[in-house]
Amino acid sequence: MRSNRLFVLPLLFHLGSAPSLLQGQDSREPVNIAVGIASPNELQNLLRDENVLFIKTSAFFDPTSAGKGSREPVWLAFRGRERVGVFSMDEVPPRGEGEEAKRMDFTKDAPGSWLTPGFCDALSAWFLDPASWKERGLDLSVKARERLQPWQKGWDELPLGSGITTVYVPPSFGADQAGPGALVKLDSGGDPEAGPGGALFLRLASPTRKATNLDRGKVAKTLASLLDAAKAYEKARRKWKKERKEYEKKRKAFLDWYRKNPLKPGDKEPSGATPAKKGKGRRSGRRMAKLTPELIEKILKRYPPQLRDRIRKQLEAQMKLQQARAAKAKAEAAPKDGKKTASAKDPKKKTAPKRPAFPKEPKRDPVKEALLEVLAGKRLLRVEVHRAEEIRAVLALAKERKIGKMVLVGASEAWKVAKEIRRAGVSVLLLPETVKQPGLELLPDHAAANAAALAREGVEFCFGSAGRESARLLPVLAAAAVARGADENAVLTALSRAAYESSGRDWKSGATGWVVWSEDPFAPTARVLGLFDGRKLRLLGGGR
Amino acid sequence: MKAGAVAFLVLPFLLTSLLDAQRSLALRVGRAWLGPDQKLERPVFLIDGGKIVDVAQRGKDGSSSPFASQAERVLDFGEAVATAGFLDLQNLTAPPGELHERVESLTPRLRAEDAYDPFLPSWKELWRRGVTSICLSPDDQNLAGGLAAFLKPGPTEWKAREEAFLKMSLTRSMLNRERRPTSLLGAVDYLREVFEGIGRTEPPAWDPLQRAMAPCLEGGRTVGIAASTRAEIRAALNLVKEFRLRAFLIGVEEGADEMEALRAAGIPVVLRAFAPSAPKRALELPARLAKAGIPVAFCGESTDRYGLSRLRTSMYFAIRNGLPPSKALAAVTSVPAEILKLKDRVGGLFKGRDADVCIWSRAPWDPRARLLAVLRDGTLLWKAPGKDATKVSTRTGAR
Repeated sequence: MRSNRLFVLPLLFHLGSAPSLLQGQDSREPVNIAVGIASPNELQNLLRDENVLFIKTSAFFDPTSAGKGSREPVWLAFRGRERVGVFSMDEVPPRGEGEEAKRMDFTKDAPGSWLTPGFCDALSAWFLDPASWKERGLDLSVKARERLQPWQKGWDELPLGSGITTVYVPPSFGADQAGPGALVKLDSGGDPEAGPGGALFLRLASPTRKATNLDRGKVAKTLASLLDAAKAYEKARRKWKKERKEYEKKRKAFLDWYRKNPLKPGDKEPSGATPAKKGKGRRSGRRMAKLTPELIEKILKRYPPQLRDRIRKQLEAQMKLQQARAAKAKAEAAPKDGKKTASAKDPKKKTAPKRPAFPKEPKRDPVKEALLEVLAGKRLLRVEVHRAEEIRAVLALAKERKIGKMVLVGASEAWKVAKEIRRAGVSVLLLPETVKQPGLELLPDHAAANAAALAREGVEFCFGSAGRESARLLPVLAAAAVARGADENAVLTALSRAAYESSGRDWKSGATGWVVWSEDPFAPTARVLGLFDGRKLRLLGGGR
Repeated sequence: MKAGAVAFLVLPFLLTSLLDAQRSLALRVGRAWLGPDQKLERPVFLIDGGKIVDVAQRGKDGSSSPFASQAERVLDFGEAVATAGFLDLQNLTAPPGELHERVESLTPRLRAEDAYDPFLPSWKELWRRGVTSICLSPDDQNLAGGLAAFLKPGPTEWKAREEAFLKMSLTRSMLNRERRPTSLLGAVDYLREVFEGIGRTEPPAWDPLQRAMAPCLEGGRTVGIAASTRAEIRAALNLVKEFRLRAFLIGVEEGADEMEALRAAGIPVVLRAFAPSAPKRALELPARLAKAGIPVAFCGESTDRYGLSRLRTSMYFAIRNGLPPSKALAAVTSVPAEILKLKDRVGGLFKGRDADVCIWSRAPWDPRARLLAVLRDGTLLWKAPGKDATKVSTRTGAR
């Protein structure tokens, strides 16, 4: 109930106890809705299902459906979060016997009511410790979910005031690399629910950091070198896995052999069992090469002539020592007169395998593993770039390395290369600009104008606040994009589906819950009348 | 050489503006908010000499076309909406550090006009946000910072049209340990000392400071007092009451906690444009003040991090939090004009007022509205690029 405290008439209905407001038939003209369930039997099934909620509004928007919604009064059927049907006024009969589904008619109190998916802030600072906002030095393995502070206060204004029901929280804002963020749902009426996010973040350029042309040219190189390192890591891991398989085979053979030929008292333990122990000296772990007169001559060339005689003497002494050791080892290994070796005694022992050495595992690197997921198309990559040439370079690299899922973050000059972005099939996350660096060309009303240019070109885009309370500006920003010529449906899609998908998760109907508005959601006088998260329909007293 | 170059650049603009202002103009729009509470459908404005000479209504079918024969030019904006140009009551557009004095805290003789630069590119930014007039004001860093100047900024305006108000500040920004006062109570005492000193002596014996402050007493010169916290608001209201000042408050961030005192004082309140991260209480304040019958205005137009107009965003959030749209429009047009005693000139589209007109694609508080054109003193000051902006016809082609 905490979230309703700002409202004059706060009401909370559990879906099971929601009152049925519709008693009679609406007299408006029937309309043809492109989306919905055609079969009357299925409608009857829905009406008999107690888990289904019918909501009537004067207009609705759903980015999932092909028609994106309707501007005529309709009945919408929901099972859980998912919209399972849209019916025109004449399709749904008056409430009858045996009907179990709940009905809620918002058009009576609010004739211009709208239903939209909950909006999503694609980059939010909510639930992060403010001290960590500017934290640097993170890497792609740091997850936001482990850093969230769900006890923060004030977030409940977002769903009630602006219809923002979901926020995507990164692990930090200051870091140039950050691991998967967390999608937090705010519409549940209780504490925020953090679900898994998925996008990795790489800042390749920043509008607040001064950069020369040379630096900017390296933008794609930075990403390429990271991807190359990931590939090399993958190769090393693959090799190690192969070696390990071989080791398993050899070990099995080794054990089998000794199981069949157990050691007797006095037998030597099999050699090659343990790797040589590393000493503490400077050259520990390294064997000196076998010295020969030719090698000595080669080594001496590295030293100045005045030192060569002294070094030659030392090396020759070393060579003699090596030769003596080798001779001694050979003599020990040779069979002594009149005595047979152990292997000679037992012919079976000749075939005894050496104990195999466990292959050295390349050190696990979560950063590179995360990047490999990006290359495999399993994880989304958010790349912050701003200038047109940076965007072009990153798009070319994405094409070359076949990065399937990518979102351009910031992209202040995306309006210049909108066509190329559309061809590459990536989306754009627009952010507030902090400092305008020389050479960065911003349009007047830049974020809105950028959005409008992208919308005109058919590029998918979304908005992020990079703040907390400032998320309430996102619908204003979207509306400003409409003022600059963007299609209203494209902008509503940006606020809901595109923003949700930019977190790396796939959209499905009702993923961000549903919001009932008193009128067109962009109108300044619009109020949130209800929030539906699939389990509960929270009715609000109009917000004033 | 430099002066010559400037003249070469500016002169054509000035001449065009002057000529435009001289030519009579019929302006047609779909709807106009003559004042915040007065709406007129299909109006036609006859503009001559920079003033609105007459306002009439067209017929629904477009049969009647008033002023077509009288006007030399006709500007037809179709179904667009016209409002009065916005007035920013406290604008601080000047080079950094130019709108305050560091050595002394009481500097009532300073004139903000002296820091005015007609060639700043920021003025154009204001035009394209619908702001046609401003009060260039000293900032909050002096106890009495000086006289704000009413002007219509840009290269056509070389000096202030009016002396607007005396800017005072009781905020923390005014405190400075190296000069008097160093605390809020010290500030109030300093002002009281000056005002009482004026009363004790005869005008010939006044020192320059007293001479500058004297017109404020007994409701002579308007005073704008910046006050943020509850204590500052109370101190400001006490001063207003004690010396019967004609004043308005600026800022009033904690005004929600002093509603009773503000209601009792009944003086206007000028709120700074909202930051995107403003707390909910701040967003609700305009509605609460308006409900209490206190006139509310917004000031401080600038570009936020998204490139949006802060005045319009403030209007939007104020409406979203309960302020009626007409009051939101009044907050940037008629209320500031009334505070400055300039209601007969700006802040409305009535007959006889300056022809400062903003043409919008929708009502200006709707964030989907786009500013199509701005007229100031009858001159087309700014026009949105793109085909949806305007349809201009001359008298020969007038319908």
